[in-house]
Amino acid sequence: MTPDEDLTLEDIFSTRYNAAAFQSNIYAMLPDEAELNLFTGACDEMEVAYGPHPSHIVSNGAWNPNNAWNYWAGLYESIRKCNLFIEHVDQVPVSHEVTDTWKGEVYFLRAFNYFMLMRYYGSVPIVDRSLTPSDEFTSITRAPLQELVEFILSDCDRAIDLLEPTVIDTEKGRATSVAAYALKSRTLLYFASPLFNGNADYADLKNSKNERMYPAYDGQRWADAAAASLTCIHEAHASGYALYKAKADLVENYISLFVDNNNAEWIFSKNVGIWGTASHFDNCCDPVGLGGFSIFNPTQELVDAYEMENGEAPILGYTVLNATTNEIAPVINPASGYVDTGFKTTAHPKAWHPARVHNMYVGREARFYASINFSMQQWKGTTIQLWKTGKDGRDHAGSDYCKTGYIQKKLTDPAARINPPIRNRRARVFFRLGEIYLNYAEALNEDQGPVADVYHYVNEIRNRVGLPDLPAGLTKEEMRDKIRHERRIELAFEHHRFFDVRRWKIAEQTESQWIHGLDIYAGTLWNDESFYKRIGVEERVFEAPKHYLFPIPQAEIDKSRTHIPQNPGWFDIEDSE
Amino acid sequence: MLIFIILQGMYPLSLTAQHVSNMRISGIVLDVQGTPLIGVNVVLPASQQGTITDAEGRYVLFSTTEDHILSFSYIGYIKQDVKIDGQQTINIIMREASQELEDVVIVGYGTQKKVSVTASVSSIEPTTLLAVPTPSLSNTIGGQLPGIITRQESGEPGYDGANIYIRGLATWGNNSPLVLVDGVERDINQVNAYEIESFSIMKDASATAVYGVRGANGVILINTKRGKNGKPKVTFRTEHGQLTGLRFPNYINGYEFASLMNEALANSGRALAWTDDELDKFRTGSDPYLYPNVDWVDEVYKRVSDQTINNLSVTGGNEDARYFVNVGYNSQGGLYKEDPTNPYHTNAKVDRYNFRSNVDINITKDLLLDLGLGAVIENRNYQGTPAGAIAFATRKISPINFPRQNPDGTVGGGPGYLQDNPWGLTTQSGYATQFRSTLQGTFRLQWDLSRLVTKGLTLYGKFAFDHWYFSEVFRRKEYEVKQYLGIDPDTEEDLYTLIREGRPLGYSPVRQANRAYYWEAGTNYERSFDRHRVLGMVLFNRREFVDIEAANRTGNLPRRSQGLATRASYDFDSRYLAELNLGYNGSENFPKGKRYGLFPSLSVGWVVSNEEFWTIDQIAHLKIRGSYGMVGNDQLGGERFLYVTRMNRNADGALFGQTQTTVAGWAADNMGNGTGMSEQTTGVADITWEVSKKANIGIDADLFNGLLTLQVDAFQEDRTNILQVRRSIPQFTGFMYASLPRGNIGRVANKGIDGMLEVKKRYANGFYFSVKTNITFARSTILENDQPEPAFDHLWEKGHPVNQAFGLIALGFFEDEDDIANSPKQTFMTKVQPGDIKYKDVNKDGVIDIYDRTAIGFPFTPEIMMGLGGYFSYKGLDMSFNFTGVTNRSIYLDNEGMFPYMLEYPNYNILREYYDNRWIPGADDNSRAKYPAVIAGTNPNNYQLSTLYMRDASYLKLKNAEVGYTLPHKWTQPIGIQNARFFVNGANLLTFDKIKIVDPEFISVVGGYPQQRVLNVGAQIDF
Repeated sequence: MTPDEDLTLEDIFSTRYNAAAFQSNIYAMLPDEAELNLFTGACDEMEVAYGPHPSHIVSNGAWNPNNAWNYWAGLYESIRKCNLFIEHVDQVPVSHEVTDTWKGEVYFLRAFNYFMLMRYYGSVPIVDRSLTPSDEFTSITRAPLQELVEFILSDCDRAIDLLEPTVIDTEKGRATSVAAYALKSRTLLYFASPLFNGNADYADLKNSKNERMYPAYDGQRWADAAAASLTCIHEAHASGYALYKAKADLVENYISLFVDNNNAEWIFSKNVGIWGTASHFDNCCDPVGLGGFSIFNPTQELVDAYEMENGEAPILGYTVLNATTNEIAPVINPASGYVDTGFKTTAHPKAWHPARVHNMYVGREARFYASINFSMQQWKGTTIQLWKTGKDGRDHAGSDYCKTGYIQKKLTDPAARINPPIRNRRARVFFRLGEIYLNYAEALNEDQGPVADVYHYVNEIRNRVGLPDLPAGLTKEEMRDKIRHERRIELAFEHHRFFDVRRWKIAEQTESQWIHGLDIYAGTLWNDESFYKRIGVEERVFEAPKHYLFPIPQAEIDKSRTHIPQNPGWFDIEDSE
Repeated sequence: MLIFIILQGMYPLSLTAQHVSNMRISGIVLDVQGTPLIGVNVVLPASQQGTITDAEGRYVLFSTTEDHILSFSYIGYIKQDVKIDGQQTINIIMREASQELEDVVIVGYGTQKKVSVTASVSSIEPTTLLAVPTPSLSNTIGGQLPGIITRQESGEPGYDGANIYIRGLATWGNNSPLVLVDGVERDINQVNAYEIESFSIMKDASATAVYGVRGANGVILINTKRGKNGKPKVTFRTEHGQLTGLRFPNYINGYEFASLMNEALANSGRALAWTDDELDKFRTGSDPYLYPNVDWVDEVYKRVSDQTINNLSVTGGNEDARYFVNVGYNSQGGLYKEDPTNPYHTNAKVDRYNFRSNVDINITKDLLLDLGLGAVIENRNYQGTPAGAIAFATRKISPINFPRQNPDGTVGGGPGYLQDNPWGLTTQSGYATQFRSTLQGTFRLQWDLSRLVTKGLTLYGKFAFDHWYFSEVFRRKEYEVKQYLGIDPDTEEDLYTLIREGRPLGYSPVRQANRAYYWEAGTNYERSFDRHRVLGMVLFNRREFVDIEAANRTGNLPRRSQGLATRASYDFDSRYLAELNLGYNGSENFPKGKRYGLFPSLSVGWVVSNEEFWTIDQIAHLKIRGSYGMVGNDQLGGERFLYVTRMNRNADGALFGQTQTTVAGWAADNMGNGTGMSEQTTGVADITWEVSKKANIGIDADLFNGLLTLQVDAFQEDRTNILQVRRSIPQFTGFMYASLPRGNIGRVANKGIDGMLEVKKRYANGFYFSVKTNITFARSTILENDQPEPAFDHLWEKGHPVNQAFGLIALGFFEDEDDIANSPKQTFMTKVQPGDIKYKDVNKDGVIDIYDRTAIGFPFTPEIMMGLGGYFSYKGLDMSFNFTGVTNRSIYLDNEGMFPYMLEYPNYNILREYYDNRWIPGADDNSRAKYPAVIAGTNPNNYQLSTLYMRDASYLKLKNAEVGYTLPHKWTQPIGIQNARFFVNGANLLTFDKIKIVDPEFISVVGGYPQQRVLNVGAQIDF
């Protein structure tokens, strides 16, 4: 007595429309990572000033297998959908050209979901078919990492065979062969990185088949990663992809790079519409005076990391002034021209900042002005005032108040307004050519040292924002630091940093210290120096090796204790008994 | 009627009788309430003398030597013959014919003589329900009869119904009992207490097996009043009362709030937020706009409101037809403040109109037609913002956030959540009106085949039609909100930030409706042969329910169920009793071939007191009974067709292209495009209902000549096939939670006792008292719930009751850094400080984490509920009371209000309970602290569910009390009034408990609309 309208799985794959809708749902499950800024808030880029924000349990070390963000279930849910689609798509009464393209996209999506599992959990079980409740689960264990990487690469290769390098305007958001090349580039970069390549902490980890989960160090992986990145760059260039240089003004160009949806630099992205996650993100980036929440607050550490326009780092280190309030003072690089006190009374010649700003914000590189909003900066027709009594300051905000004296600007839509509402369709980028340049430079430097191509691709990124070339004659280690710095700035807020510090195995330094911001409980005027002090905002916690990988949810461990071992450092029944 | 006239005719005759009296007999005739009955025929049949009672119920007769019997009769009452035996005073209590209820018990699909009942059934005098002056019936029955457990979570008009459980919880699925009004499934809270003739609950398998797959959670049977032979009797009852809100949240004031902010900052090693000068401004109120101190609870709620309950009924009839007609009007007001300048009301108000007409017509001597019509119309008014959102705003907006209104009169507010000014939401956000109507029709035709076929055989058919309609019109308003920034030093003008622009009243209607048809046809056979009495019953029924305004196709499909029920009972000499009940029914919610189930039960009884050997006169009646059987529960959380694997056609779809269109090519300006498809439900081919095997043993006893009545039952239940998600399927299979296969795998044991004891006596001087007490104890134990093997044995849910809480065991507070260093490491946050909660290392691994959680406290549904009621009357005066008590129940005083700065410093109001009892850093003596210290941020360590916040939620409430006075009949009868009674009563009068800060029936301190005390005056006049 069920209604005729009730669909079965067979019905889904018996019409073109239904099958397309099933595939569309797999795309719709891709995350909008900007919306919550989990990974930015849980690393040294940012503090999210919202009490219950889920980034806090990670940054203060209170996460555990029960309360950690569960990406495991959602990603396997997507993978199940991919498997069902691949198993049934040939039944759809359409031409092979159509089903081949669809299948290629879904191979890519399956690979992308597995890459994300790898990025959170390391080695995971490979499920390549749709399971049923009556299946035997105990034979499924965590695959050795090289098997997982091979599985991802092979899905990418199938996608490359089946897909075109570009899609037409009305299909933007769908996967292409270049997207699959980009995924190979990133997967192999991760596979070559110290976290997964010869990590002594993981040397003894075995799965239930007694196989070693993380193989021994292999230098060839850097060469593989470099080759895959270079292939991606060549394929992209050949199909018209290029660094975005549409706007004459450098600041405006860098802002537009993320607002000009699906431009020539974008390789794979998700359209997120107007409302929902899209508008919520912009609201979080607007100051309270504009009706926003002002909760995405970059750290002083990130602000200080932006270079001067001349390519010099402004700050070399810090000294602690007050151990109680964690107030610190910068060690200034004299060659940079950076000034840490006083105020500038004239505007930037290109209007990157107005007259009357603190000297900290003077003479910085273009990406600083495109990425960070600070006090007295002009924004959406008003002047931002984040000191205590300022209109966006502590005194006038409720629970949502700016905690560091800075608000995220990059990725937000400068044309969006809360009141009265003005919104534009937004999209979030997963892969862009700029990242692949930096992937290539990093892998090549590790493989061959700072050869010409390394310089070339890093300088492409720097020159695009008006910075000079890297100095010649760098050692491999110096180049490594330069590339890491360039990734931190160029890819800021793009959900790379959280994972980069982990795969480089430097998180135990970068993520276990105080983060700082300005003294938001001080200041009554724009030029009140009491506000412009570097005060401790939060002491971050990082325990190695535990916090390098996410814990597998306890509920899953309870069901699979005999065959799914927990990640190292997280509570494991075997440890305690 | 005929007899009455004849007797009246005889009256003068007696005065002139030849047999001169040799003895004077006199007395008083009263009804069971102790009211004198006027006009009762008192006859000496032998000497053919008679009289009628006077206005005070008195009679006088003179008997002759041939008179041995005195006979009392009165229309509508049971005739009584009394042996004279030389007595000169004979006082009599007449029972109404319907008061045979005392001797007849309502059971499923029929009635039975009390003596032959073998099932576990308890019932309540309908008049006791009237003593609790509240419109929702579910709130009047807790503690009134054994076997029932109730919990009321809100006092909001129209949404104040209590949860009812019969014999506790035996499943984590749907555990609501089946409620039948006049034999038809209907909403208990739609029943007007005044219209109730009988209220009974069916508890064991024997009583519920006839309901088959619907019976496992117990059944409540409510019958409405029917007409009685006699001239029209008009009753008018009116009551008016005052409602007083109880236990509003008590938050700290602005000065205390600001001081606590400073204390938190100091404890976190940060600079203070407020100077002494500023704190002083909060304290003195010298700058109320920039340093406000607003008591938001006071701005939102007034303390008192009012209600009225009125009913007018007429009943009467003759041999051919009898009728009961009632009209009722209830009105209950809310506790919200209003803005008098609004041209409309915003306060909550529920006006309810009841209408009921029950007519019984004897078409022929053998053919009886019952027609029942009931209608309920409700008009409700609420604010534009729902009560929950107002309560939430009242919790989160602190006294110092902003003033109620700005200097220019606009609504104060701030950015983000601060635009939710509680006073603004209450009075400025427009209003919503609801209209609800219920139509209930019940028609029954009964054919007595005693003359045609065989004595005691009847045949009947029944049809019921119910319609429910709901419409709500939201006239919400976005009002203007501004943030006051102070005075501009240059222009000396007030500065504001416009937070939100005002807009006119909106308009958005919502509609819901459903209808139900019910058919029943059956036959009854009841006959005595010598010392054997047999009773048989077979019936067929069918129900069809349609959600007319369902949101989706599946929801709109009719819900049908049908089945057979049969009963056979045998009674030998009122000594040995046996009964077999069978329900065979099912619904189309299950797969073909698996839709019908057979639910049998068998019960036996032994009336020991009717044995010849029984000589204990003090125990006039003693019955031992037992039952065993099987019942089902097909209410699978409202889910339908779980055997079908279904696809979700409204899943999220992607947006493709530069214009971000969906697959179908529509421009998508919104997220959540329902253009994707995905798996939704994984069908389970063998899905079935819950099965409950129930055993019951009980005794009934009447002791000391009716002084004491006792009923005790012990029960045990084994509930299997409880539907649940299969928890053992790993997540890497990729099933979504919603699409995870279900299975009938859960199993719960439930056992306990319930009983009642009544002591009652009427004295010759007219004093009557009755004291009644009852208790229900039910404890559930989870036997199977597919929980994967936990990391430690103390994390097993099996072996614990349904709804068992798991939390940490708090050992107190860290005294100092040494204490922290010498204790196991607590891992919920970076570091703990002195004043933070110290927990027990349950698994002894040296670390405090979630694996140290263990079962703590009792479930939030009480295991034990008790009641104690008394009724006293003397002449015109009567008094009654009812205490209700609960124990074996825990709640947690945690969450917002008790967790300071739970949503980031410095947000959310803080309860005085926390403030007055917190651990204070640097204080000389923290030994009496009940709650941890405060820091300038969230504190995951202190926010864990633990025994620190656990409280014993036992309570004893004086649920109601009533004092009434009936005017002497000699005053009222001359003006045509049979009875005039005036009364004062009240509900929720006293509460004794350990919680104090919130009603003990609530689940946490985050309570919603407060419960209310009712004080009521009223009158009932019978014409």
